[in-house]
Amino acid sequence: MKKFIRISLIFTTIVIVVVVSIGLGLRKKIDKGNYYQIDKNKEFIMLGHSHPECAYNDTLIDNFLNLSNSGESYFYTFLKLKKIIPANKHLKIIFIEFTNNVLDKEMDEWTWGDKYINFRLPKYTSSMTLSDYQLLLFKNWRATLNAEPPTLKLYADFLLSKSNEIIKKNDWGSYVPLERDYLAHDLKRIKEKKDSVLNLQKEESKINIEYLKKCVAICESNNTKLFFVRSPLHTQYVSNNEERLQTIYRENFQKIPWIDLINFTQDDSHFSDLEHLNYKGSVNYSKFFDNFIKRELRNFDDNTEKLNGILKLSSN
Amino acid sequence: MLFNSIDFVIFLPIVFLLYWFVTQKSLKAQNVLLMVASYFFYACWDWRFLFLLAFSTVLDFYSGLKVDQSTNINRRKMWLTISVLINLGFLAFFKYYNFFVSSFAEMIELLGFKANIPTLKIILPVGISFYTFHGLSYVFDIYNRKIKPTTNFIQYSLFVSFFPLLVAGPIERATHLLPQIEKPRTFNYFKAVDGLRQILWGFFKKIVIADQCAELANEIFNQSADQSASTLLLGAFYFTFQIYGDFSGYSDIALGTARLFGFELLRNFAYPYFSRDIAEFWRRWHISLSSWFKDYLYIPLGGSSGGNWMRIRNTFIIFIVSGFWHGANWTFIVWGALNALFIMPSIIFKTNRNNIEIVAKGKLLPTFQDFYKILITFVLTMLAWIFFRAESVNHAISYIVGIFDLSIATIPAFFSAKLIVLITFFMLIEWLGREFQFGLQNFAFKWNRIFRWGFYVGLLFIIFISSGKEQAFIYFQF
Repeated sequence: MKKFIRISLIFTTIVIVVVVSIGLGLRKKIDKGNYYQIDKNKEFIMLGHSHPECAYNDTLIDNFLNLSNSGESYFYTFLKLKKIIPANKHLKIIFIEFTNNVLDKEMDEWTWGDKYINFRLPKYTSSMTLSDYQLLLFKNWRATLNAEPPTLKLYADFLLSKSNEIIKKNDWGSYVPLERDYLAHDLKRIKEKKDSVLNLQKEESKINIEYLKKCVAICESNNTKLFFVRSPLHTQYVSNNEERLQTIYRENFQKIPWIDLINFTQDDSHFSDLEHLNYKGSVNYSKFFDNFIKRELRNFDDNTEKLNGILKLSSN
Repeated sequence: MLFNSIDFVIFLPIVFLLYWFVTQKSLKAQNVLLMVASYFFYACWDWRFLFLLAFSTVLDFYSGLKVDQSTNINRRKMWLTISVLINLGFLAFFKYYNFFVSSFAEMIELLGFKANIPTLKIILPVGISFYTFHGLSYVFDIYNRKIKPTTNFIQYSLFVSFFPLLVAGPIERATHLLPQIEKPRTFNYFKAVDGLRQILWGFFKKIVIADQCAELANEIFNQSADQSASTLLLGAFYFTFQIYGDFSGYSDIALGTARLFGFELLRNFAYPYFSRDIAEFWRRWHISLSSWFKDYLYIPLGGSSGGNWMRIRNTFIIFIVSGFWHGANWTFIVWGALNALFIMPSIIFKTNRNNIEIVAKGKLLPTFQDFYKILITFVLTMLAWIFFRAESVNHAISYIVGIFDLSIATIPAFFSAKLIVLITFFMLIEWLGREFQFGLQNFAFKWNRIFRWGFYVGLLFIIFISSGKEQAFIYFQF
């Protein structure tokens, strides 16, 4: 029996050493490579969840790259920024979506919930420090450990593919045109006063705001200009935390310009549902945003003063 | 709890160490430990159904005693009937109620009447088909005076609930497992190492072969109407390896785990895809179920003693019942019937026992004739699996019709060279190990330790990078 235990332990140790060594080796190789570079002509990038993912058609906005990803909490936005900013000194502005549901307790689930960890963590593991990893491990150890094998596979696949664009290869985000139409359904629910889907939870995700602060800090330390944006929402979108959102902004992020485009359009035909622009809406909005960048932000240094605080804009 | 979960990776060493280091001096303590561990293992899925498991255990334990104690044949029959009716009643309710109700409603509607019979939202208790059959075999064997009932409830309870076989078999017999539970077990290094190798091979089959085949097979079957003939054929091929890797992988893990605790479970698979006819296939596929049906259904129906007609009738009955055992869907019944049809020529011409030994025994390669027979059997099996996998009989038929199309000559979508290489490697190891209990049992066994361990570490690494999704085993739903 003792022999069995001894040999099992030796064998298990060898397996662990092999797996960990391969994992660390792959990570080191990726860290050394120039894999996080974005096209030099992309000077503006957009980060956030599904609201900006569906709103910014980056083929219509000059020098703009939409790297938003649906279901993304600020934890993962931060992991993206950690790699993107140092590797892309040419970036002029980073836009981060700052809207009502970022306070929602659901953001915790988006950070360490089973299904989110499983497909999101492998993509960003190379950006994680021990403290980031500890957070996930502490909150959901099973899913975090389960995400290790796909992580290893993803990086091995990436290196074997000989691609040099991890952002594209690992799908760090892009514009997604929406064709679905759930607006009528949502409006009907509101009419029937079954609007629980729209009422955001009272409990807040503190961790999400913590990581937004980290996003701000990393931009500041790299002298990269950061803007918050609130993408258009339908006028019937009910949010019970507007005041709280404003307070959090004033208390923590006052120095970050916040471009508030919540009321950009009231046209139902532009919405896929209450929170997301559809393809038509995104085309219209993206053209506006392209103009806005050209008009106001191209040489933002001159306009920083003007843009500080909350800038309310609409199509009118 | 799934075998392919982190929970099991933690659970197994803890139970193993407690079993051999804390309770090793007392058989009773070891059995209690295994029983508690088994109930915990089951409770991780849904603790509420522990009551059903416990009730079924008490029922069969008590029925067994009563059957044995009754001197009057009518009383023996009565206790047997009570046990059978209640066991099958639970099975019928949890597994077949909605099927019976909806089938009845459809039949009524076909006759022109309006039927509005409500179906129920019933959760199928994991493993109910398996532990029900464990219990039934125990009572049947007592009734047939093959065994004496045990008076030790803990031992009987462990026989029913032993965690390696609790949720997906093999379907054990009291004559085989109970004596092992009743006797003290001693640790055997070689058996334990062999058990670990079998577990390793089981994980490879499940995680590397079955789960990866499943992803592609699901894509193809779920959108079969839009696929070319070659893609449909590839989908059937993937599923053929998915079901084998999944179920035989589970069985290997179960057998290997049991071996770590000093138990030998019934072998469930013996390289079925190297069979030369369908009769041989069914002696090599899910052996514990086939032998269960043979002993408790085929033989009581008269077996093959009453001439060809009796053999044909009984063969159809056990295949259809076996299909129905798998699930409450007409697809399983058609799958069973189709296998009965395939086996019929060998039943009629009495060639069903022509291929008893493993193919090409003692040789490296099969003869051309054997290879041809293996290929034909494989294709027939693959055809039948389409019904097993399809959502409905119509889906299966349209799937098969879709294969017979000119687009068979096109390059299939979802072709994965990597997966084909893995399947080839898998079948190669199986072929080389076909004279042993499991493919990996003897492979690399005589190599220098560095190479052997290197091979095992390599296998584990492939398993590791293929894992992470904790996909349930197909047979959990049965």
